[in-house]
Amino acid sequence: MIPQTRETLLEFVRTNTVTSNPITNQTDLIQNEIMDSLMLMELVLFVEQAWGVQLMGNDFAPNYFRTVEQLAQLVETRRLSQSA
Amino acid sequence: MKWPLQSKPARKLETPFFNLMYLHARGQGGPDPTIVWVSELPWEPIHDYLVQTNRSGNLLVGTTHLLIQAVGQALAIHPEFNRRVVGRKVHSFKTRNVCLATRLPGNNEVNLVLVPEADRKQLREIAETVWNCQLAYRREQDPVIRDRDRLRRLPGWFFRYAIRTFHWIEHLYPMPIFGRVDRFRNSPVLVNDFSQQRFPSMRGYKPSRMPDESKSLSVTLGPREEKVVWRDGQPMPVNVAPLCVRADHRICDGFQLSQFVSTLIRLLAEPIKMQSAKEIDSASTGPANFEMRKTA
Repeated sequence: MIPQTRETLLEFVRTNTVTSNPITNQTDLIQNEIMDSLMLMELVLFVEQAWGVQLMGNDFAPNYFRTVEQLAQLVETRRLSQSA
Repeated sequence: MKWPLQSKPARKLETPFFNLMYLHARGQGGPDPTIVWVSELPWEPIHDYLVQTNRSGNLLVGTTHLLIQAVGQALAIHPEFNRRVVGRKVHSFKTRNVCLATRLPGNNEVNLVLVPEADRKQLREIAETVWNCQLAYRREQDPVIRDRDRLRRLPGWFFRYAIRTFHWIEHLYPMPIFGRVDRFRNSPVLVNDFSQQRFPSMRGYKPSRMPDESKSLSVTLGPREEKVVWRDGQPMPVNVAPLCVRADHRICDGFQLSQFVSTLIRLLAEPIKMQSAKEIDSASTGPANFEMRKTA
């Protein structure tokens, strides 16, 4: 499931970002100033709608939101724990 | 019920004469006491500090949180800005609170976040407060949302007269904080963060005065832009962000405003100095303290 989640999240980030640089799964979203408060709230909303996963305040750690790859892993982990 | 203002107003003899002229000018249709100062601040120190903090910390902190902290500390350095006008008098706030305006995706509402005692809070605490409030707004768990809906459902004529009556009384006397909706009156400043790259470039920003006149100060950060400057006889590209501050001439004058803006720029140019040693130590080790506020 992770590749699919990753692709969906990557598409979302690309669509909602104004940058001339290419964004990949490994792009540092914090270093490149892509992950701001608006983007974070948009992602929280998108993840809830797309996968039914509720991200909580404890999830707002830089290590979870640094790359699309890490974010996809967070979504998958929360999805599995919520369905278990 | 909480009283946000000091009961005794600022003494007339201590108030600059020029401010007194604005203070005692006729009200509606009279002179506009608004002063706006637009400046620029270097972006690299903010960016570098945030990258560094987010590398070691366990809670995402951003420009908004840094801006709130800087405004809180600037209010502590310049207490003459931690005031508001009530009628023809100027009252000081008891604490240095900062109010942030936010707008969430998919929501047609400006939501306010109050950060109490922002001058004393660590950056992590400010980030926790703001994220908690934004999440509560996002999930419609903040009781303010229900209160706002209740007020919106009131008949138009009743709503109009209730608001006018409240503002009329508030114009005469320092009023306490009654409930959740009006708790945002407990701050003299409204902070707007438009520093994200999705916003168009900014040359100036002058928000209107709030109808209740509690916000005598407004601080807005715009999106960064690349600018070429001369350094050592060479052209050099630097990133700068516009900083727009709106103030009230009944409370301060242009010189005082320039000092306030200088302080803000100085604090944001060296964010590390705003943090205590305790903050730097705990950023990498302490767990984030998230408690969703209970729904009433």
